[in-house]
Amino acid sequence: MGEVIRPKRTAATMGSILAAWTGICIVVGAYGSMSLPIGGYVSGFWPAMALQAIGGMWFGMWGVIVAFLFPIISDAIGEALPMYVAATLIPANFFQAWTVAWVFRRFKLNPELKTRKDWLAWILVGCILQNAIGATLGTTAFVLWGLITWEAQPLFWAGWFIGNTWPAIVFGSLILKIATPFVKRTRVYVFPDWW
Amino acid sequence: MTTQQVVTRYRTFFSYVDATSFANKMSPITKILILLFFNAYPIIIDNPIYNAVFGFFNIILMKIFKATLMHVEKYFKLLMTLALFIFVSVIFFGRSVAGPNPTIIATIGPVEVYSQALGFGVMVYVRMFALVSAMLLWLSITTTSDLMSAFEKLNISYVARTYLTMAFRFIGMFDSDFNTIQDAQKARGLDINSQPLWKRPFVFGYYLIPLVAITVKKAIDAGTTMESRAFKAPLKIKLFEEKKGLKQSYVGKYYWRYSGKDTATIALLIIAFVGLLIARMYGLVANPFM
Repeated sequence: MGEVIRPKRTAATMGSILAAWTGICIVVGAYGSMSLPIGGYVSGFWPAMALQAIGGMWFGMWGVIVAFLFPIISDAIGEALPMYVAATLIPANFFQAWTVAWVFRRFKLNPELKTRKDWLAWILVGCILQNAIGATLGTTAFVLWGLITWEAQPLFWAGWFIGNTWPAIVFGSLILKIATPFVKRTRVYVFPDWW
Repeated sequence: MTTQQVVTRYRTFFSYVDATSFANKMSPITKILILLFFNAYPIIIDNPIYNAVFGFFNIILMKIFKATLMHVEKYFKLLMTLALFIFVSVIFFGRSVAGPNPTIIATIGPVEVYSQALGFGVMVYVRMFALVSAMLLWLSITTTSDLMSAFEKLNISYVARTYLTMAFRFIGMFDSDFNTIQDAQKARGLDINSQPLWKRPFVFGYYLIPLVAITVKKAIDAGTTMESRAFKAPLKIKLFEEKKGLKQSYVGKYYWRYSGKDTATIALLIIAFVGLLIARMYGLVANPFM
C-alpha cells in the first residue's frame, strides 16, 4: 500500500519536456526581461528564473540542461546579449538551477513545500544563494567580455540578483505550491531521481 | 464580386513567410551563418549609429523576405518602453558606467548626470534594438525543416536535432498561448497593459501558472505522439551522429537546398565579418558619444 507507480520515462516524453520547457522559458524570459530592464544586459524582473529553478527540481538534469540552454536565445531577444556572450553565462545559469535541485535531493526535501525545512531551503538556496552565485559568475563574464567595467559590476550584480530573486520568491513559490501536485502525477516528474 | 488571391505561406518559428519569398530559396546553412554573423555584429560595433542602421536594415529585410510583421511587432513596441528604463537607470546610477573622468552635464537634486553615462545608455539601447531585430528577422524567416536539415548537414544527431527544433517550434506555440491566456484574462477583467508599470510584474503570475500547466500538458502530448510514431531513442542524448550510422533523412533529402546565390551570400558575410574586425581594430566602430 502507498506505493507510487509511475509509467516508465521514455526519451520521447523527456525530450518533449526538454523542448517544451526550453520554449516556455524563452518566451517568459524574453517578455520578462523586456518589461523591466536595468541599464541593459540584466533585467530588474526575470520571471524565467522561477522556471529555471523549478525545472531542475521537477525534471532533474533535463531541467538543468534547459536552464543553461534557453538563455542563449532568450537573452538575445530580451536583454540584447549576443549568443556568444550568452553562451559564456552557461556556468551562471547552470548553478541557478542545479544548486537547489541538488539540495532538495540531497536532504530529501519536498518540492511541494510542505514543511518549514522545505520553505527554508527553497528561499535560502533556490531564491537567494543560487542567484548570488549566478549573479557573480554572470556579471564577471560581462566584465571579461568588456561589456561593463569592474566599477559597474556591483550595479549590474545587484540588478541581476534582485531581478532574479524576487520573481523566484513570488512566482517560484506560487508555482511550486500550486502546480507540483499536478506535475507530480505525470511521468515527466523526475524527482527524486536526476534523469 | 471581387476575386481574392490565395497566397501560400510557410509557418516559421515566429511568423509566416510567403511561399514566393527569397527566404524559402535560401539554403538552411546560409540561414545558420546569418544567425551567427548577425549576433556577432552588435558586439563588434559600439557606434550606436551603425547599430541603428543595422537594426533598420533587418526590418527592411523582413519586408523584402515577405515575413508577416504582425507577429513580431509587439516586440518592437516593447523596445519603446525599454528606452525609458535604460535612461532612468543611467541617469540615477550613471556614475559606475561613466568611466574614470566623467563630465557632469546636469544636476537633478543630489543626482549628477554624466554625459558618458548617457552615451553608454544610447549604446546599450541601440545595440539592443539591433540585436532584437536581427533575432526577430532570423526567427521570422526560418522554418522547422530549415533548422532540421541544417543540423543534419552539421552532423548533429537525429535525437538532438529533433529536440532542438522542437524547442524552437515551441517558442512560437507558447507565444500564441501566452496571447490566448492574455485574452482569456482580459475577458475576466484583468488586462496587464492597463495596469500601472510597477504593478505589472505582480500580475504576471496570472499568466505564468496557466502557461506552465499548458507546457507540461503539451510536452506529454507531444511525447505520446512521438512514441505512437515509433520514435525511439536512449535517454542519454548524443550530440553528434556517429559516421557509420549516418543516413540521409526525408527532411534532409527534400528540404535541403543550396545554390550559387548562397555561395555569394556566405562570401559576403565572411568579408563583412573580417572587415568589421579590422574596423574595430582601428577604432572605426567605437562609440563617439562616450
